[in-house]
Amino acid sequence: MLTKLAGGRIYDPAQGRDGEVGDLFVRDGRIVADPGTEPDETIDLSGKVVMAGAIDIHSHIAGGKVNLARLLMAEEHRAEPVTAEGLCRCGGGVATPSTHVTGCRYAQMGYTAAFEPAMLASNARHAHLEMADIPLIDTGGYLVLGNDDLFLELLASGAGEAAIADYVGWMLTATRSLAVKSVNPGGINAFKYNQRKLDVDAVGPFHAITPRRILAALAAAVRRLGVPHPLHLHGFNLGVPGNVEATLDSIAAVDGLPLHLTHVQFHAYGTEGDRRFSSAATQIAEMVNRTPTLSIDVGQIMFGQTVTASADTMAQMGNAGHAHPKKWAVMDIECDAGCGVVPFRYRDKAFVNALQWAIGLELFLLVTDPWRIFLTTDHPNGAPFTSYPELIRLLMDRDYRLAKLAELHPDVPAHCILPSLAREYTLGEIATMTRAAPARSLGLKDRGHLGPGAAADVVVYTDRPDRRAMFETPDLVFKDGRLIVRDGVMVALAAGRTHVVEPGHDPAIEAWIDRRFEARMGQKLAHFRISADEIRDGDGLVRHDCRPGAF
Amino acid sequence: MATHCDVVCPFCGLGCDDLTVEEDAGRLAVRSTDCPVARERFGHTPPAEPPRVGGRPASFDDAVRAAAEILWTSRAPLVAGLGTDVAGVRAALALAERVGAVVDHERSEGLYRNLAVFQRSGWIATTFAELRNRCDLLLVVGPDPAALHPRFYERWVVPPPALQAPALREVVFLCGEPLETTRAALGEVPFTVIPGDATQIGAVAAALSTALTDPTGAAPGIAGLAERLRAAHYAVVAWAAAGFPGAHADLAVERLVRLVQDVNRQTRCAGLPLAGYDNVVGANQVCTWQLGVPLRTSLAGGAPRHDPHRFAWERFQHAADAVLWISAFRPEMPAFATGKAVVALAQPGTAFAAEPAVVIPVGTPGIDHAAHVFRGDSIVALRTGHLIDRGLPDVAAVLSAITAALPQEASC
Amino acid sequence: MTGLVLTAREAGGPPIDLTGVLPERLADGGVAALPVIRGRERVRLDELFELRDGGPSGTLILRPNGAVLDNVGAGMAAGEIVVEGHCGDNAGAGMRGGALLIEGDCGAFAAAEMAGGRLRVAGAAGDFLGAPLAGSPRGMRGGSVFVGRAGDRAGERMRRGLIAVQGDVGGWCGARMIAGSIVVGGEAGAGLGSAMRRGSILLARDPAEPTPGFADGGEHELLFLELMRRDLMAAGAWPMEFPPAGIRARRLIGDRTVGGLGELLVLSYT
Repeated sequence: MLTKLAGGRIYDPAQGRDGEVGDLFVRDGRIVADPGTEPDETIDLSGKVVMAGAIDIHSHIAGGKVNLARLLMAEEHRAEPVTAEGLCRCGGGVATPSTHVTGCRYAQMGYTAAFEPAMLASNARHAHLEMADIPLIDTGGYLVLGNDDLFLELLASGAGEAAIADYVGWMLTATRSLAVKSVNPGGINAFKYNQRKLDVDAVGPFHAITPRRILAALAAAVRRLGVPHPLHLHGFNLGVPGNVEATLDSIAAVDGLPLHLTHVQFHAYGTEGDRRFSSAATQIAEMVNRTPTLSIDVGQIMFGQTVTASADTMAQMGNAGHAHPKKWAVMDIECDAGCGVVPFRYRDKAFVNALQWAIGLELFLLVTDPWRIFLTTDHPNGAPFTSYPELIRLLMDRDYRLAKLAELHPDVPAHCILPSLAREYTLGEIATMTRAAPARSLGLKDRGHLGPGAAADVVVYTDRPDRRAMFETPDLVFKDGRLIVRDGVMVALAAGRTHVVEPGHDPAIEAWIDRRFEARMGQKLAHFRISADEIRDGDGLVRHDCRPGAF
Repeated sequence: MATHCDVVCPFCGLGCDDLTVEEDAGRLAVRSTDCPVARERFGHTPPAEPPRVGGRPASFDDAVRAAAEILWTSRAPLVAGLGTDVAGVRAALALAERVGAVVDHERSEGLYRNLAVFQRSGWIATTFAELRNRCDLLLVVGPDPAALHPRFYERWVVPPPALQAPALREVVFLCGEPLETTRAALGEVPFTVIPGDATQIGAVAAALSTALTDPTGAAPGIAGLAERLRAAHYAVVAWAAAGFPGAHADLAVERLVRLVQDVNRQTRCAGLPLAGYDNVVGANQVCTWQLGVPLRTSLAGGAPRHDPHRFAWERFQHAADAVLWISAFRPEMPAFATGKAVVALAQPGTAFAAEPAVVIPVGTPGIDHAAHVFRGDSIVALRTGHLIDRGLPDVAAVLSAITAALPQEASC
Repeated sequence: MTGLVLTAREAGGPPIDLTGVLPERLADGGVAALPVIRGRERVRLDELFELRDGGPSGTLILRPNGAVLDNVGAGMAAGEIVVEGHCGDNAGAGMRGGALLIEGDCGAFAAAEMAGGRLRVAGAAGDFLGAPLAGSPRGMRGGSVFVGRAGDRAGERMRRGLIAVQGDVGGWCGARMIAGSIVVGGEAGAGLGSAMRRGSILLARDPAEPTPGFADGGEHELLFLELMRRDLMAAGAWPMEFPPAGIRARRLIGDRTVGGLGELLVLSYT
């Protein structure tokens, strides 16, 4: 069946379209060029804004730590249950929504894909099982490496780049991952030996390798394997005043190789001023602007109750004293990594939180290339993903932004340059930052754009001056050519798919890994490996090409 | 005859995946280990039986229809037992949502001794491979966990730590005696027994916490143990709460969790709550991710209401008028009071105190069909293989059929 | 304006969850149509209860008639509910104001996380009186509770407020108490004050099993006890006999195993 989406204002930065009126043709779930035949169905989109489905490049939606967070957020689930209605199953939560609610809320906001950015190898099977229960959106996981004892042993043994790449390639394939993530490289492992702080150039307590070396080795492996997405880095000393130095160190450590710095807001702090806590957003933004191999996502905080959940046990142990409510969990996990879950409330009248809010916005407004900066709140660490429309409004509406700034702790404006930043994001830049750019960064060649051959993930908005209202409730959302949301209501259920890479590597590495699993892990390697038919009951994988040295 | 190697055992939560199981004409025998749980469970494979309705053989479709009818006409249904794999739990939750049932797992009492503490305070915990490779001091508290998890020491304690220097480990038993089999299993691993009573676990944990910073006045053994904890590189405190005495064992667990946090101020320490029978950990994971809240939840009125007191199956069964009970790991089922319509998804050969209204024999995960289950330390999920085919349906298929047989009008 | 009398139509049957059926709803009308859950169904209140006018204005009078009623008065902020019989679980859970009077017994978790108002149970309250609900680190934080007897874990993690028990309480009374006052006229079971940080538990007699972690703080004449006695008598509930001249109590301070400075005050009658 051929469907014509007629006369909308199309924002498709990948094809260079910035609001021109045009038609889209959809057949068999794909965008096709105008075939010249009469469409079976025409939907009139005159006056509407049309974009590809949005892609959340970093959102903690599935896996062990997310489930632990749900358990700790018991009060939220008691207060915010979701009643089953129509196609939407019951569930609940805001910062830690249940799986069906996660998929429905994302879809209702025009998102057609979201990626779990911290999937542990030992927990990957759980993450995939949970992702399969999130309807409507595509998913995938980034594999956490760089604290696993096997990797550190391999690196410490003097293994060359090839062997390291083989290990990384084998792990990505076995765990059905899309990209490589590193969280506080070396730090989670060091915490298991009672090290509570990290120095980028100090050798680790057991494997005696520096975090700088771990980082460099992983970036090189990703490049060598040709994984599309750069090494996705949750950097050192998260949340610690003065950590901008460590952030700059991590950029230097990869020596020009592509690198993605995640939730950079939490890593952009100086120690100036009477409170010894200041914004280093300008420094970071300048570095990003002049380094084309760098991309970032912001990790914006928004005020209110949420929960911080990450693999970074060292940082979370440090945060535990600030838990609100006063409960928290930390786990050391399977000679692999760890997790830390600390509920948290960001308060607009608290100087530190208010400045964090400003720092995130400064990053958005100072980085000039919308292809290298992505819109995230590090859900749920900065705020629930349902806050994205509010964030878009803050970026597109300077007066609104300044009004909000005036409501915060009164000392904040003097401690940041946000008041002087007049920039307002355009619709085209939003489309780039939330669609075209994340798709390109992840190597999803047929998503994030509306050119012929693209998957027909299409979102239609009414252009409203209140950008929050506009982005909160798209008129229509299509997933793979099928209408799934109309005016905020689910009209069809569909299953997403799981995106993975299978980088070429020398299979001989498996024997090396297998010997160590036999000796230590109490689990056979054959049982550790995830079979393709385990993903979404067998038909769930989308494999993306790796091209060594190309990215 | 066939020999199956590297068989995954789904029964007690340790997740042993190294079993050798011999198969001969549909009968299985575990050859590689003496573990009584594995031997008994794998050894129990009576031939398939047809479903029964009202005690008489019935077709699958008739049994499914009868089960659907019971649930749809009930006023207060309970979907429990949940002794099944991830697919089975998913199907059970979908059915429970359609009929507005309360959901719980048979083993949730043991689970909640830990989970109640986690929900209100969180904890510092670790997993099996960390214990095996990094722990230099293991403190086992309460009744020996090997009573419930027979291979615990063999698999996770005896092998020397590969990631700790020096590569040494010692074990201390507190408020519980190691079993004879444990003493034998530990072999060369040095261990001490500090005498004490399982009813005193909370008080002893509190005394240990105090002794960490102020050993004066501590009972003999406690001061010494406190010092060893402080000197350890990576101490693990392990306990099997299902074996703790008393109705308020969570208060003792809470003291243990605090002890771990107190030791962790100075050095590294983590707790290891041992659990996992009949995939209770897996059932709880699935429930939590699908509903947002854990087991012991009502789906009446179409939204989850979580209440570990009111919706514990042992309590709610008195209010329930229909019970759908799932027990695919063991040929056992509790007895329910008369006046309840019981639908049993049970292993063939299960003996019932009273004949249920509907019985649908099901296959055993890991024996009749491949299955996803969770290991007891809650992070690792395993996929079992399957060994024989008795022609039994799996729980997920039965529950999906029952759900499909419900009237198609809007659920409550 | 009168109040409303609700009589359950059916004895027995699955428990009825009366969340949302509050005196505040009398003013807006529409009480009859309030949704309640019984077993698996959500139905209108008047399908399960016969409603007629009666009682003082702003009061709901419940006649359980053999039905099990859960969440009676949960979250109520004003007005009065009188239960002429027994209540199920969660009676007055989270209540913020007003009064809930139960003439019979009640189940578990009565006054759970109560923030204000008054609960009175003439008979026995079940376990977890004034305790936290699942996942909450804190229990009761205001209001006052008077019961005839209480089960285990009464006042657990209490933050503020008053629980007065005329007769016996079960085990673990005041466990992990943060602050507030508990008064026990009868026997207290084992685990009294375990892990308490602050707060006061006033006892008519020595606890049967002393809780480790409490140090003897001597005997004192405590003015606040006299003030408390007057408050409680004014409220119509002083659970114990008192000596005629001055209230003296032996003071036990603890739980030292958590660095606590709470007190167990055992009334002295000599």
